[in-house]
Amino acid sequence: MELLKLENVTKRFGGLVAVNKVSFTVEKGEAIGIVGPNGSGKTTLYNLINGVYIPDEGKIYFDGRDVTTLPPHARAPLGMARTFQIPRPFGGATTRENVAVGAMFGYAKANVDEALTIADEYLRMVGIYDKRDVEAAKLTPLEKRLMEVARALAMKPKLLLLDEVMAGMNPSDIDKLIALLKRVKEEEDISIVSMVEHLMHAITKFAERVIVMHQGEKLLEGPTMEVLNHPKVVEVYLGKKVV
Amino acid sequence: MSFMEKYASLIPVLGIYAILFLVGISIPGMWQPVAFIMFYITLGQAFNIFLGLTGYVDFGYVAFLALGAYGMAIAFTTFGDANIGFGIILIGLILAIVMASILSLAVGAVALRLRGAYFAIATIGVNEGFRYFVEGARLWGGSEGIIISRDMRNIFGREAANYISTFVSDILVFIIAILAAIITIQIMNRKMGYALMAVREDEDAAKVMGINVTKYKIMAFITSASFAGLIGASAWTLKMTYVFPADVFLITYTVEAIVIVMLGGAGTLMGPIVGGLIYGILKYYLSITLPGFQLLILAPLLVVIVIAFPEGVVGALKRRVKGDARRFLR
Repeated sequence: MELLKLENVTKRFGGLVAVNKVSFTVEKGEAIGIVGPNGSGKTTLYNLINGVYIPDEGKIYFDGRDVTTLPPHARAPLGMARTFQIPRPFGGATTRENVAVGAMFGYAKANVDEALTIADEYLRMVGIYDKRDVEAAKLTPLEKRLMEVARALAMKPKLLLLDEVMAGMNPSDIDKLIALLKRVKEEEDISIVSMVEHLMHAITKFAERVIVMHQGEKLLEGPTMEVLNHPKVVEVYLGKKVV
Repeated sequence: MSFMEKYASLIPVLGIYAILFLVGISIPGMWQPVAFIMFYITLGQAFNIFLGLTGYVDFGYVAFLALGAYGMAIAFTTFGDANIGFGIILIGLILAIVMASILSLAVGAVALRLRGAYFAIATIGVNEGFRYFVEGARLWGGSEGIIISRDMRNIFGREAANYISTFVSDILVFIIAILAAIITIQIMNRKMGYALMAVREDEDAAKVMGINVTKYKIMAFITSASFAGLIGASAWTLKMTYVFPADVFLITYTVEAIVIVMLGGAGTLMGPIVGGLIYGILKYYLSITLPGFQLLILAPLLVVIVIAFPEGVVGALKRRVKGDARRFLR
């Protein structure tokens, strides 16, 4: 069953076409990767999916509903969650409160007490439970990313959009995070879309399917290994062979 | 969260109110300064619900105070006959809330879609615009305002009218301060408090988390404005027994409210009380000991305090306090 469906979605900023007629679907419980070099329209695509931008053309369906023009605060309660490329914690609040906000206003729609319990649960899961009473602004960059993952998971989403969540992590942290994401994906039947620029080996361990973006367009789509070894993809990243 | 975790922070607040009250009624000559200080504490409490919890600065805040003052005055001129008795005060307070919240809804629905400084600029016009509208359109007596001293004497008699303006109006301010503290802690303990925290910290991220930011901002705005209306009705109209537009639509009160909240610690329960105490005491005694020079001393003193405690006195204190004691300081 398809959870997310994009139909010919286009977004322009003045004369620049950031996302050009992109269509794809994400099935329930699927893990897909979106790869593409810097400026290929990945982040714009995320902003279109979760409502920060409204597309100029095309339709977006989520869980059988047309959400094309819904604002972000109306999409999150339907079961969408995301992390940010540059983490955006609510800095003055504690880590626990940050995660609890996700549980309160996301699909989970928990009350305050439930939300704080849910927050503890996910903080333990991502391994920063001992930082629960620390102001989120004081977390290390890695901890901030993990906090964002916990906050997004606490929303109990159907679709989790990860934006460069593994960038800057060392290989063992990446493996831990991938194992965690695989586990919650199975346990809670979440679809996960993960966006990466360079961490191809992480994507190969995690994604079942990959979409390659290039200059705002969908270049390729298919099974992970097959797509990543495709000559076109190699060309996008490394340029054409000259000799 | 346990009951204690949720409400322990009200204990020191109510304690300070109780001490002020006891000092005021038991020491001769202290009621007036206590009422003066209490006015600033209450103003800070009311303004903190908006400025402190959302992080938005409203420069037109005093317009709600003014509308509350007019609400009470209009109650006297419209319903004031001798049979109504003390019920007129209740009608006046309700009218104050209604008028202040209608204006805040109208202003908020438009201006709260703007961010940060743009919101602040948009609201400056509200107060001045409304004042010139009242004067120019000769609304509610125009620039001559409304004088209710005779209505008060007719309804309550000379003795009681005097008692209301010198004592009951101040008691009402105490009650408003207690209510404002309770409402503040209720908001902080509920989803609304978390939503407003998220708005204050990162509004765009808040939206993505599923928070309808405009809704929560308007809710805080109306609540805060209603309290301003109550303050205007009690501490102005009932106390002074008149309302002149030039006196109530005075941006000074907005600036004072901002100073009190920032001084004490925006977004904390205790902040406006500490800020109100510092500001009220300094202003009262400086104007007695060094009349005419109070601003010259007050201003640099405030600058020093703000530099020493950029998060406000209570904001800085909160960082030092660890463990269970934290519950008492929010």
